[in-house]
Amino acid sequence: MRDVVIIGVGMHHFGKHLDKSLKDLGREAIWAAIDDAGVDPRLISCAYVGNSLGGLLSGQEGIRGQVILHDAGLDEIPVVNVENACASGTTALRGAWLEVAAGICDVALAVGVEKMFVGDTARSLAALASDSEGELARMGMQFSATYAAHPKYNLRGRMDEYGWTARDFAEVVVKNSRHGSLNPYAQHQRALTADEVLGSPMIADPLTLYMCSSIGDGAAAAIVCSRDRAAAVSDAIPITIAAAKLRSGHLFTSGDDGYSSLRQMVDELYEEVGLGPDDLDVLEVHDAMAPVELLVYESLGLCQPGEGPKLIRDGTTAIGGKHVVNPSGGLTSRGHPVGATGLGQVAELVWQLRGQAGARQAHEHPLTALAHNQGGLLASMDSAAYALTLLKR
Amino acid sequence: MSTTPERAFLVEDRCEVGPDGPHLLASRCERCDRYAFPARQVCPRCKLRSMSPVRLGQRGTLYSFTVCHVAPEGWKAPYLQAYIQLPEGLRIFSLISNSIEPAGESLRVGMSMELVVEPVHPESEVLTFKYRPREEDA
Repeated sequence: MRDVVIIGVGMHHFGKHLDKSLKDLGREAIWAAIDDAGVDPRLISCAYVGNSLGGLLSGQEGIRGQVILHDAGLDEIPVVNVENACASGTTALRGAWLEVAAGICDVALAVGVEKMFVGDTARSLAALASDSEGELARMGMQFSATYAAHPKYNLRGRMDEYGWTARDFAEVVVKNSRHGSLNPYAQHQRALTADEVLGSPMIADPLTLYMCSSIGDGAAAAIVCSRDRAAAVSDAIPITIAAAKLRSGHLFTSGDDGYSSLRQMVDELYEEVGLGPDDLDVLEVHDAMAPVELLVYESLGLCQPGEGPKLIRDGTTAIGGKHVVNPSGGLTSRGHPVGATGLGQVAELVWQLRGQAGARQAHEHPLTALAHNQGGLLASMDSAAYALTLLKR
Repeated sequence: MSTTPERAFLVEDRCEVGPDGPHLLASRCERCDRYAFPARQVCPRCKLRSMSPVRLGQRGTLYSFTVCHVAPEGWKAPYLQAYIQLPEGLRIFSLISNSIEPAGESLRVGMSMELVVEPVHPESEVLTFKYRPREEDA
């Protein structure tokens, strides 16, 4: 396997863009990444295009990648269409990484794009429900409520178990919305107070509206290259993909209580790359509902079970802290156009590692970054896809 | 012989109603004795087509629950969504009986629950399995 680096990233603002199509969103992110790398686009010799809901919401069920890439002027290359629910973007990046690591090509493109605002919120939410196994949606599973009660998260139960309060949950939003207020690509750029978060409408106890990510439109892209060719094709600071892990969820049977796919995968990652939680300078994690970030801290080994709120209170995970989590604002502030989210995380971390994140720069010289992206819920009680991407300066 | 009601189930193959009441339709592995719900043929741990159908009993305990204040299309908020711990070692997603007020004030984690089959909501023609607190525990 060859070493692979990211030479360029680009984003289209995440938010409500009723006047833009999948093509418009994708084209802007792709060309932003090309410009960022300063690479000759004729060198891009393969592309992976992540999208989840475009078939249902735009009617373009097949060949969405080719449709988007042709609009961006890229043709006559292998195009692989990728669907993996909210992890589609990272799954696309892994495909591009694999092509270059395997020596099939030197320069590859990964793009994630999603268009969820179609002028009919019920239709958008119905499409989103199709990112879970069909029977769950038909049985009345409500997505936010899942985080409140599902055994994996059970935020209500953690309040009893750990003594966590609704205010602890709100403080996660306060941190991430402050980060998001510094991010010009973020869907929600207003710093919220804990009282505002707690006073927003109840969605599924204890989750209020401002604790939940919202639907959005957006796109993000990355151009990857073999390390040995990077300096020849681009002047950008290369960021190494030290690991690109992907796995499907655990099929739960009796006796599996307490099993955590994410923790299992994190342990494998640390073992493989010879790093531990202490080495993580900056992270983007999948806070589809902001309080879940506290549980991700535990899975990543950033704290002992139950101690997540302490990391929020003492600033460990805020900009300037030891382990800065979601400097972009995370899913709840930066936005969650599902197929674009994973590459949005990666774009943010590349900027952070290069020291180009402006007002939301985590530290002066972060060296190691981790993106955690996750998607889809199965009837067998686990997420459909887990993706971890480790990046190094 | 089961006497499944005439009205359609929301999701088929999840439960049936026999002379002794409703039962969940699950599977048990002939080799490792693990249970799975929904029913399946292949045991994921043994990686063998070693699972056989089994009907589960009516008891469980309330593992967790929440009140949904927004509802997917076709559903009415507020409604209760829960996970039930079964004695066979499974935790399953379930709705809570229409007989329980939707604010969930009478529910307590760990309370004893029993399986019922009811309309999805009071005006619905479609049936589903749900759980409700057992009489002596309510």
